[in-house]
Parts: sequence; structure tokens; C-alpha cells
Amino acid sequence: MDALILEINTQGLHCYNVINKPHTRIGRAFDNDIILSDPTVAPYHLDIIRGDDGHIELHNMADVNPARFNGHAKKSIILDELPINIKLGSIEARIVLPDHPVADTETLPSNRQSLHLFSHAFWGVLLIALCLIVSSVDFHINSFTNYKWDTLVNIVAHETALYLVGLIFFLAILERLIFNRSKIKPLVVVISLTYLMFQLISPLIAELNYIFTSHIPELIFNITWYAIFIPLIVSIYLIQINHQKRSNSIWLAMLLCSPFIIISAIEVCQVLGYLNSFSSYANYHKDLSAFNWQNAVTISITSFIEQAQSLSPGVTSE
Amino acid sequence: MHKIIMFFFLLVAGQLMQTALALESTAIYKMHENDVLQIRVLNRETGKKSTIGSGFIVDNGYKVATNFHVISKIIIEPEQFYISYLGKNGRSGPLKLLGIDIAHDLALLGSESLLGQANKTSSLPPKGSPIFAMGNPYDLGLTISVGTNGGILNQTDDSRILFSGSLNAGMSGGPTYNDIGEVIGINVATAQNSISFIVPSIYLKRLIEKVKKAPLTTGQNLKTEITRQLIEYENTYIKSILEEDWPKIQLRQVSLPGIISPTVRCWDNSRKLADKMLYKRYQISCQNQNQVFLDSQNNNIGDLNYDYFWLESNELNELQFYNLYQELNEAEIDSQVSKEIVSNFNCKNLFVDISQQTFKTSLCRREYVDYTGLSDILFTAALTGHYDKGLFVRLTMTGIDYDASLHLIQKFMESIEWTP
Repeated sequence: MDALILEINTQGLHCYNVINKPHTRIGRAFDNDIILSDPTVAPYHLDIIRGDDGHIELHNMADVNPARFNGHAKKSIILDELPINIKLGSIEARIVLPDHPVADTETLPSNRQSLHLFSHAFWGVLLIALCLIVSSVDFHINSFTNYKWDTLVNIVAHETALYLVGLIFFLAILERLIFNRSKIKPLVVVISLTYLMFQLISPLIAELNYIFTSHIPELIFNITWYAIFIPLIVSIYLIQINHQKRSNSIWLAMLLCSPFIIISAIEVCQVLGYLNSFSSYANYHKDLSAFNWQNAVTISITSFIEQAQSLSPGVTSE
Repeated sequence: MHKIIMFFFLLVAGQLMQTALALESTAIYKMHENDVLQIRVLNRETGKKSTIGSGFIVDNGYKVATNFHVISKIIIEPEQFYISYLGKNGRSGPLKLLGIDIAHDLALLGSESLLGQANKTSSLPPKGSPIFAMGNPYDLGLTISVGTNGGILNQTDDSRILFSGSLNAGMSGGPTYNDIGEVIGINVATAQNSISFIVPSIYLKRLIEKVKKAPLTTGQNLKTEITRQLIEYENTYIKSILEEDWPKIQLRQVSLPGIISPTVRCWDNSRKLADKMLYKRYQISCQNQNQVFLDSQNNNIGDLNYDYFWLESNELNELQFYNLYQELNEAEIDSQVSKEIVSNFNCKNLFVDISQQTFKTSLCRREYVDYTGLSDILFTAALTGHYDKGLFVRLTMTGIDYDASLHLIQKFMESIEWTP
């Protein structure tokens, strides 16, 4: 039999070892042919024996966490078909033939320019600057006092800059813990773009609320943003930047975003009255707009009274 | 010299007046110590007092008058509590509810046995006359409080007399006498600084007459009766307001309903803003003083509050102005009640043409769970379409018939006039 390939799964890129000697011993001890530093692996865990007649025997050497072959714990097995999955402690590995097909080469995230956007520091700095400008504008249109420039700088520096930096570092640490790697530049770009998008879309949603005299646009936005858009961004990031499998990325993204998804779902249920929760406050529509675009027709006082007659009291909580 | 003599004359006259009052109060106390009772709501299980108040014998000697709020606990938990009296020398016995006048906080109780000599009622003496309130403050024993008649308060729908004496907890439901020992009213409430209120005896006389014709029967749903009385009272109140020509208040560019009823008082609530603020705000708040005690759980209803909030700025841009305007768009009913008492609010939002200006209006309604037909109403209207000025009109009513509230809201909106 030709040389075999032992593929060892790691967090990130896999390790591949050629098995072509009569005896290949795997374990944690330093005199093994292949050393696995994982604490759940025995000092001498597995012996791969190549017989003169070409047969391959896998021989378990571990008393603690014995090797499992295709999910079964056995003292030894003779290989009759490949690939075979092996579990050594918590390490997953498999033996394949050298001509085992490999997956097609994945194309880079997009064209050259967008790759540049995610990997070049210039874009990161530019986008952070844009975030600060947008935040300053937001502060300005929400301040009703004769403020001084240093107040604006203080607010923007303390609130937006600290928030962005904190988020970037938090996610970088999380990425490091999960994938054993972290890339600051793409993280900065993704976070800044997401922040900018939120800042730009929010006023439009408020305007839609006013146009339709309804909280529905805001609810749709919240559920779309937190349950679809943010997990989508996270999965794309994981696939494109961290080279994770698509299915794993989607699940991990959903898991990371689950608190936001749950909170927005509760909010939607509350507003739509599905939770039937009691409130002593009147949840009337408070939005007002400078543009004053409204879908509803302006009615006379008499029509108002006619329509008001059909207003029933709210539901009584059980 | 002349002034000194006058001063001493007034001093001596004052002392003589005080002595005279003291003599009168002693005589009145002696005259009525047997027919003023302590009214107690007792727990059937423990036999102990849950609430106490005062009452006095009326009509044929088998009836006792008191305040409704003294015995209201039996409305909520009739199986748990019962009413009893305690008189001089420890005589006591059960009482049953014969009639209520919820609007004037009165209750008429009945006894199987003769309780004593009934009090005579009389009309109100002239303003400034000495009057005497008797009752059992804080369960400390019968006492008499001396004061003067401050007259009928028109801001309370003619249902309260201002009393300059001091009423304390436990004296509610007790009688107030004139200087010849006739009942001119029933002690009802107290405010700060020895300001107290008396219900005129005319309402007691009406209640006695009503009970003679149709007393409450055992097993009668009291909450239904209370709701009926309240709706009748509130509808009469609202009707009287609607029949009036409302005076106007000018607030910057808009003319608004002013004091729409003698029961309403309006105050300027404009806040002084810091110099750095780039806007001005003016606020006028009006409230009635016509609250009605509903029960020990719900407390008072019958509020009619409205306020106007004008906002203007020449220095804020449109986006800034509307962000501020929206931030200030808050209104709520000043009554924190639980889900056991009221339903949720249901709101309707409509754009309405008021005096050729478009207002974004919201009308919200919730209903009392145990008093079907009584609603709390919140109405707001926000002026739209101006980039440097805004106006909120807010009107809230508690414990009101919904249809009656709509008539008031309609007249309210029709009374708003925009002056370009």
C-alpha cells in the first residue's frame, strides 16, 4: 500500500502527516513519531503498523481515553477501507489515501477591491472616522442647548469611540478564544460598516413609523436587524475571514446573536400584544416628524368622534 | 393712645369669644356623646378592627350615617368583613348597609335595635359661624373639634364645606354641628394646616329619603350600584361642563379652553430653563378637585385634568426641533393601578383638522375590571406642520362614562382656535 495521510483536525487549519514507516506511534510523549500535545491524549496512544504484506493495523495503546475507530472503541483493527475516522482523546483525526479528493478551491470573498477594503488599515481608519462624524451629527441633532465644541468632542470620544473600541476588542478576544486567531483590520471594517448602517437606517425607520402611524416598521426593522442581518454579517465574516464551514458559521452566528434575537422577539410579542402583558401606561404613537409625511388622511373633528366611538378598552389580563 | 385701647379691646373680645366657643363645645359634646358612635369594619375570622371611623344616629334612631370610605372594605371583601358600632360605655352591635351616595362619600347603616336619639339636621350657618366636629380620632376616644364654617366650596361641585378646625383619621363620618347642636354636615377629609372638609347635610337627607324608598337589599351587587351612581354623577357633571360657555386662555398663537368648570383650577407650570437652552416652553395645567372615593383598592376617581404645552425655538434647526418635540411627547394618567383593577389601554391614533391646523391625536381607553362602564381616558393632540413651534394638548379623565368623555373631547377640540 502506498503511503497514507493522517489528517488531524485542529481549530483553524488542519495538520497532515505522511504515514510511510512500518511503525508510526502517536501520543503525547516526545519520543512519538507524531506528537499531540492535547492533555486528553495518552503519552502513547496509537500505533499504526504497516505489514510486509501491505496490510495496515491500528493498535490502541491508551488505557485512558482509548482510541475509537469510526466511533467504536477497539483494541486494534485491520484497515480494509479508507478513509477511517479516529478519535484520540478529544482530538479528531482521519486516515486517507494520498489521492483522496480535496474540496474545490474557494474563491476569495469578492473582487480585489473589497478584499482590499477588509484588509487595508486605511479603510479601517476612514470608516472609524466616518463613524465619529456620523455620531457627531447625531449628537448635534439631538442636543437642544448651546453646547461648546469640547462637549461634542468629549461626548463623541467617550461614547462612540469607546463603544467602538470596546466592541472591537471584545470581538477580537472572542475570535481569539474560539478560533485561536484574530484579525483586527477586518473586524474594524465590519463593525464600523455595521454601525454606520444602523445610524443611517434608524432615522429612515422612524420616518416610516410616522408615515404609517404605526410601530410595525420599527418592529420589522428590529427583528430583521437582530435576527437576520447581524447573524448574516457574522456568518459572512466567519466564512470569508475565518474560513469556517458555511453551516458551522451560520450556527455559530445564530448562537452569538441569540441574546439580541430573543430580546427583539420579546419586544415584538409585547408590542403586538401576544404576551398579553399588562401596562398601566398608554402606549400611544408618540413619533413626530419634521418632514410631516403621513399616509393617513387628516379628518374632521366629527369624523374623529365617529371613529372614536368604536374604540374598545384594551384586553383585561388574566 | 386710641390704637392701644382698640388693641386691648380686641384682645379681650378674642378671649371672650374663645371662652364662649369652649362653653358651646362643652355643651354640644355633652348633648351628643351618646349618639356619636365609632364605626368599625371587623374581620369575621379574627374579630379585630380593620378600619375605623365615626358615625352618628339619624332618622328614626335605628340608622347611622357615616362616610362611604369608612366602610368601603366590605365592597371589596364582603365575605371577610362586617360592620359594627361601638358607643359610649362599650355598647356595640352589628350594622348593615342600607344605602350609599358614592359621589358624596356617604353611607347609611341600619341596626336591628334602637341605637338612641337621632340627630336633627339643619342647613349651613352663615360663613364664619362656629361649627363643631365630633368623632373618634385614632381610636383614642370621642372628641370635639372647634372651627368655623368656611362656606361651600364651588370647586368641589358644591359637595364640600370648608372647615377651619382639625379633622384627624378616625373622625371621618362623624357629625359636624352648628352652635345649637344640629347636624350641618358630615366630616369627610382633611388637608394640610388644619384645613378640613365637611359634606353638607342636605346630601344626607337625600340619602335617607332614598333609602326609605329603596334600601339596598342583601345580596345586591354593590359594585353595579356604585357604577350606576358614578355614571349618573359623572354624566351630570360633564353635562354641566358642556352647557357652560368656556372662557379662553391665550397661549402664544393659540386660544384654548380655560377654566371650563368652577371645579377646575389652572396653574402656570412653565419651567425656568437654563440660559444655554435653545428653546422656550410654556405650560398651563388644569385639574378639577372633584375626586370621588371609589373603594379601598381603587381609591379616587373622577379626575379631569388637562394641560397645554407650547414649545418654540428660533435657534434649533428642524431636525433638532422635532427631536426635542418628540422627546417631550409624553402623557400619562396619574393613577398607578394594577391589572386586577383596570384593563390594558387601547389607543387610536388619527390626524385631525383642528382650527385649520393638523394635529396628531391619540385617544386611549382602559376600563375598570369590576366596574364595567367606568373608563380612564387619555387624549393627546400634537400640532404638526410647523418647524419652529409645537403644541401639546393633553386631557385625562378617570372613572368616566366613555360616551360622555367623547362629548367633552369634541367640545375641547372645537374650542381650540389658531391665530395666525
